[in-house]
Amino acid sequence: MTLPLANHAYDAGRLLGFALRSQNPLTSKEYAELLRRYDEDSALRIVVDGTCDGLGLRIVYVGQFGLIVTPSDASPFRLTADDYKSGMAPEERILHGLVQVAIAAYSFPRAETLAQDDDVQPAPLTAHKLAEYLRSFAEAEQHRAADDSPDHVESEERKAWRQVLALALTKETAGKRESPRSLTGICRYGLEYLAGQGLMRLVDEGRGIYQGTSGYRIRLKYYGAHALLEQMRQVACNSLSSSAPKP
Amino acid sequence: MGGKPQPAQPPDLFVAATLPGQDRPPLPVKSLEARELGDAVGRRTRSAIALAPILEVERTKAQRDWDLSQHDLRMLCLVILDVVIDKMGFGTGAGRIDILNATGPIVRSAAPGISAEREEQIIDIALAALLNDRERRQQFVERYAALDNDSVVWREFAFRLLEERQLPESDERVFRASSEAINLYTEMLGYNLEDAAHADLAVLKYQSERGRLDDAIRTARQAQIRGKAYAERIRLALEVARRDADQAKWTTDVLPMVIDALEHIQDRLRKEGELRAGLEQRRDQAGNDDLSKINRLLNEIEKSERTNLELHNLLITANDTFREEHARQRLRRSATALHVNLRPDIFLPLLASETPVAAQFVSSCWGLLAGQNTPALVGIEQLWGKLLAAPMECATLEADVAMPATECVQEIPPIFDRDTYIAVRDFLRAELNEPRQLSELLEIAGGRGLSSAVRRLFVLLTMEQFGAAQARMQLEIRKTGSRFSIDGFLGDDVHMSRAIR
Repeated sequence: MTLPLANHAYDAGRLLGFALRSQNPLTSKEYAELLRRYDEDSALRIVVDGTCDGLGLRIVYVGQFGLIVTPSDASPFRLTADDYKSGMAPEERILHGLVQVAIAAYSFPRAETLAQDDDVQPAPLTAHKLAEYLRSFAEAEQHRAADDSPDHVESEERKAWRQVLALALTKETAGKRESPRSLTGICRYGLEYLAGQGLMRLVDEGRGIYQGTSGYRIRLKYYGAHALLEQMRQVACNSLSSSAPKP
Repeated sequence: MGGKPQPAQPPDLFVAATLPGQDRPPLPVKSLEARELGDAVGRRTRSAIALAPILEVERTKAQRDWDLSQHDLRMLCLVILDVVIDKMGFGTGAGRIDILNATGPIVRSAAPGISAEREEQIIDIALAALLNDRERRQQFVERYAALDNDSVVWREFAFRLLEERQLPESDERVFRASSEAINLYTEMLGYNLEDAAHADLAVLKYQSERGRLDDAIRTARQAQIRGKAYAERIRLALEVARRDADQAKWTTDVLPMVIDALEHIQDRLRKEGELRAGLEQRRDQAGNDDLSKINRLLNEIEKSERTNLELHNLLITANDTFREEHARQRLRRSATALHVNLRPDIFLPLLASETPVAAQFVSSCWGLLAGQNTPALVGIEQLWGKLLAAPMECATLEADVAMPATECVQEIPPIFDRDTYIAVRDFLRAELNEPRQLSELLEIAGGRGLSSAVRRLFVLLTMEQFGAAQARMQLEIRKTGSRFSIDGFLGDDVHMSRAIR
């Protein structure tokens, strides 16, 4: 390996290290400098892009908010349900996943909110507000389902909103503490996890107020939301084809 | 349609739009006048609508948990907008502390003795109303009727008043007013901003020359805010062109706007410079009272000059910036033009889906929503630290130990006492000298007047001995194949005899 290439490989590794830890370029001069070089030095850019491809990382954004990557299914950096929270029962996984989707939908409900400039800060939220948001939409689904098909109670048992409502009834523990298995507890876990990933910032620790970071918006705006929509369509298609009567 | 003829009614402006396809005669106005009227009324309607969130927060204050009757939330909202617009420049705005500093004294004056926490909460209510926090910072959306080519059409006005932004190259957050919010101050009566700026300068010059300094300060402030509004409008237009470099009609639309704006700004800078020079001359000869007023006036003019200079710099580099961006975007991957409606397109369908479908979706969405899995690297020092750390105290969750509420379905039978055991022993010693049936012994026990407890213990011990291990066996018991029912005892009858050891 020639020396310049080795230097570029080293710099690419450093840059990816910052990106994978979702660090803020404001906190590191080296990171900011590497980002500037990525923009200006095509040789470094080629090495970084190639390394990302090899690691199964898609580059979503490079700019003042950092190098933002999303792992593909084949990537060793892929986040699984067990990485998110180990030992979850199947129902619990669905609820934690629903909470993550709810956080995204709460922060950026419509296309125009998501499309705002990268530096615009989304609506702040708390675990209580999020749980209330989930519960209100689950109740609306319940009413809608009752209006649509009042006789099909048994099919409701298998709906995701039913699980949310069942959990919304979970009380606090005897010591008046919030149970981690309650809806609010699951919401709190979700927010804390995102804060640990650098995707939420704790605005007010006392009141437990969180707010999505620019990195969170960018991740969803330039890739995540489209991929989720694609995934939703695919799952709906599979579901339809499996429920269609066989010839 | 059949039926009774309808009485003649005055023309309803809103019916035409609610019933599309229905032909109605055009409004009786000439087309040029109608267009002018339509434009002006449309602008004024939008200006009125932009005030709605501010009026709404005041109207609904009685529904809150605290008594806010001493505070006018409309005024607080307008003061916040004023502070934000005043602090706005290119890429900056008012920080939270600026807003608290400006509004705090007003809140304290309205309610002397108010706690600092409550004061901040009241200011937060006004801020939340301007940011539309209730609707999670979405745009305010209102439908309104507009005049278009002699007919009424319904349009939608979507707007924001305030935005919270992260400052570039800093972790600080600032609030910036939208163009609609700035228009609340500047274009409420539908003036053109360039025309208004020229008029402001003329009025300012006239007032200054005649020594009407108080009026001049007010005019200068208004001119300064209008200058910011104008700069913001140009900046937004350039930003849109920069982001969409491929599609921007740069040469046909944006470049002429840049040339016009440059001309306007250079003219303004020249006039403001002349005005400032004249005022500086007067300042040297002014008395104490006039001196402070002239200083304030100069301060406002300097603020305006700064905004204009920044805009001037932006305009003279706009063409180069656009070309660079155009070249860069040609090399970039094409950005997705349309964005996703996360709530209606993903969240609600997921909520309504069946659990197997939801499980399938969720299994593949962790990385898209919650980032990547980066294994934590542990250094040798951290490892030693972990090994030598005090044992972790597990936070045990409190179990719900409250006993369930139950009720006794019947009285608990008394425990057999020693005397009862002795009575059973004596009874068996006396009667079981030869093999007998259980039913026969129960009849004897009844005849001898043994208590219910003794008889019950006798039966239980018999049952215990049935099939008992050799070591414990005291009675030999065999089935008879018959059944019995005596004094409430019923079941299979058995032969009983003393066990031979």
